[in-house]
Amino acid sequence: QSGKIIPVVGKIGETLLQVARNYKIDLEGACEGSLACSTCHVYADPRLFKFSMPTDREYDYIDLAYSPRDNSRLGCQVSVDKRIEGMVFEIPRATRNLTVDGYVPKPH
Amino acid sequence: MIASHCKRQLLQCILHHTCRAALSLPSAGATNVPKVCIIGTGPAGFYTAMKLIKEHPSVCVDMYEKLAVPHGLVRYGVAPDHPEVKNCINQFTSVANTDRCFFLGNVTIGKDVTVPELRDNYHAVVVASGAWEDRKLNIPGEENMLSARRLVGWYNGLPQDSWLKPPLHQAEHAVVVGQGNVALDVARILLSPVDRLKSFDVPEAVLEQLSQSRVRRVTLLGRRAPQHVAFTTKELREMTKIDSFGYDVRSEDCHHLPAYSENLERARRRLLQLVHQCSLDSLTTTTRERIWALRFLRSPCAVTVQDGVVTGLTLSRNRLEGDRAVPTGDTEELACDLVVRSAGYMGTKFDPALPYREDTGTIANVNSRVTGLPGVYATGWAGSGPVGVIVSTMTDSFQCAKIILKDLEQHQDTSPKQGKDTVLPLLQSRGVKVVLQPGAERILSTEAELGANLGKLREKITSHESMLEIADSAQSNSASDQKKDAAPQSPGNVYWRFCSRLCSKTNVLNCELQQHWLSCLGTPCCGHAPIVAMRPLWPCAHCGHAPVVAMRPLLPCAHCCHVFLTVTRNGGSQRAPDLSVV
Repeated sequence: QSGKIIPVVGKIGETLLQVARNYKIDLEGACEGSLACSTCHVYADPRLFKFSMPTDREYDYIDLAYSPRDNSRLGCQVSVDKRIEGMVFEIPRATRNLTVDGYVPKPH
Repeated sequence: MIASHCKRQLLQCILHHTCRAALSLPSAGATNVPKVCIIGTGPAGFYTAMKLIKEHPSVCVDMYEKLAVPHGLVRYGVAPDHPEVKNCINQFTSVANTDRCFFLGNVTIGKDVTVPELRDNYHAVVVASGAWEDRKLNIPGEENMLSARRLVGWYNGLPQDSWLKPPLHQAEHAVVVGQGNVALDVARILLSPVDRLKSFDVPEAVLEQLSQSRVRRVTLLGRRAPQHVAFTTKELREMTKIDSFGYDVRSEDCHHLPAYSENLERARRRLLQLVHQCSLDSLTTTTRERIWALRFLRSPCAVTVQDGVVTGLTLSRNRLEGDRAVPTGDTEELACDLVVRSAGYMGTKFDPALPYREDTGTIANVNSRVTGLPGVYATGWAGSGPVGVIVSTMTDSFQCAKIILKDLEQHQDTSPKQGKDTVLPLLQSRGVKVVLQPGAERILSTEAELGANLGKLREKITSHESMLEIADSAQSNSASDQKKDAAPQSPGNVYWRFCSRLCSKTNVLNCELQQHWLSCLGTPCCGHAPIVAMRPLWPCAHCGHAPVVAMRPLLPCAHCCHVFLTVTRNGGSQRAPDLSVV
């Protein structure tokens, strides 16, 4: 969130969420990695998608995250392996729209 | 597996808090410690507390909860067959166990203590009270509609809804008005065979009622068209993957969806694609025994009742003008046996000092700062309205915490505040039985233990009084003995209530209390497990000893839902009163 790039080292098989935890990086995991929330949302290095695609269920949760993009992933669903060496994953800055009483204008 | 993990964690927590209580130091009045109180202990409350404690080195957070147990909608709203969503509770428990967090349960703000009184005693007051009421439709016959919020409370063991007896045994077709995630939850729970639900945390008494259910079709009505459905993709997908469920979504309602959704953003497009796919697959599934259906462009205008029983709904047919639903003037009858209203939740104005917006049911605020009340903040559904899942509440609450900290820093006057040092004695002087952390944990660990005995995640305690009793026994114990078999020093408040069919064996107490109860449980003489009674017990007729603290709480009575045998050593002997039936 500060815009810094933090180099991390993870064990093969660890998820990105676990790695973030190890480095005390601010990536929340409300459901503790059980694919039941969207709090560990990250923007992934596009090269990841050459060999690792989200399942339907992961996409369903990415859909609920803030500002999902084409390269969105859930940190608890991406595992460390040799192929992700050197990749950069960005933690989105989640900001709520500044509104009064949470009012969101909606057509109806 | 989850139950035992919780038990370990909670046991450690009980020990930690017992030590804390024993060491209770008088708090210096003049401190620079910012004191914040949070009203509500659901996700909004806990995520705010978490962020405050993390970002400030000394802030103390007191969390007020109107129920005896924390966690709000995570405990009472999330569907029982979605246990992973509740994993966030582990993080909440860690927060609750820090030295800078204090739990005060069974306290109703606006009644037991007011917001102005809290403002006097805290540097900041955070309203995280959620939205616990439901929106009404205001149509004739609405009193014959079941509120989805109540139904959810009922199957989730919320004490105030535990009395509900939905007529499921005489209903085949249920209609749910609404097409949000709550409507899907209700449909899924009503349609599920009991076997599918029994390993989660649905109370036994509810499982028994569900096992008598004859509901085999649930129709979800939407005021507008498929492109306006309020539920989300994952929940809809789940409904298509349950083996025993078939579905009925009409292709004529959905054929426009592929073209319509081409230019929408991905989330919406995927959802509508799935709805369209359901309409294509429907035919192959309608031979199954349990069917959920979606019907669109229908608004209920009256509930039809005959001889006190719901027989149908009069529906107004709508058409779309852009994205608005407009009645066409045509109506139709939909025969059904049960109607559930799932038209959204609403917050309430629980304290006159809070500026409440009638139209949205929220506390008026700008960027979490409550209008006209400096130092008062609103977060979660209380401030933004009843829409959003954990991730949005978490984000909102983190931001609220940051705003609070910014305001605290910029505030010129940092006069010391007393916080719970004043408020807790005040509550106690008003006769409020405050549930503290050890009490709440004992309730939760008791539920986990009971659940383990029954092969489920937890067996929720559905009686508020029973919860208070358990909390009381944990709290009166915590100051002294930690040994499980230590009896409290005073008789305490022991109440007994007998269900309408008295188990004759409960009249006679054996000194080996546990043995007796186990035998009673093993071969119940009346079909009912032993339950809480209304008056203190007399000495055991067999051995003359006064009753002792039960070693472990017991199964709830399947007929009346009352639970727990809590007996205290009452010192002298007492003439046995006649047992009357309540």
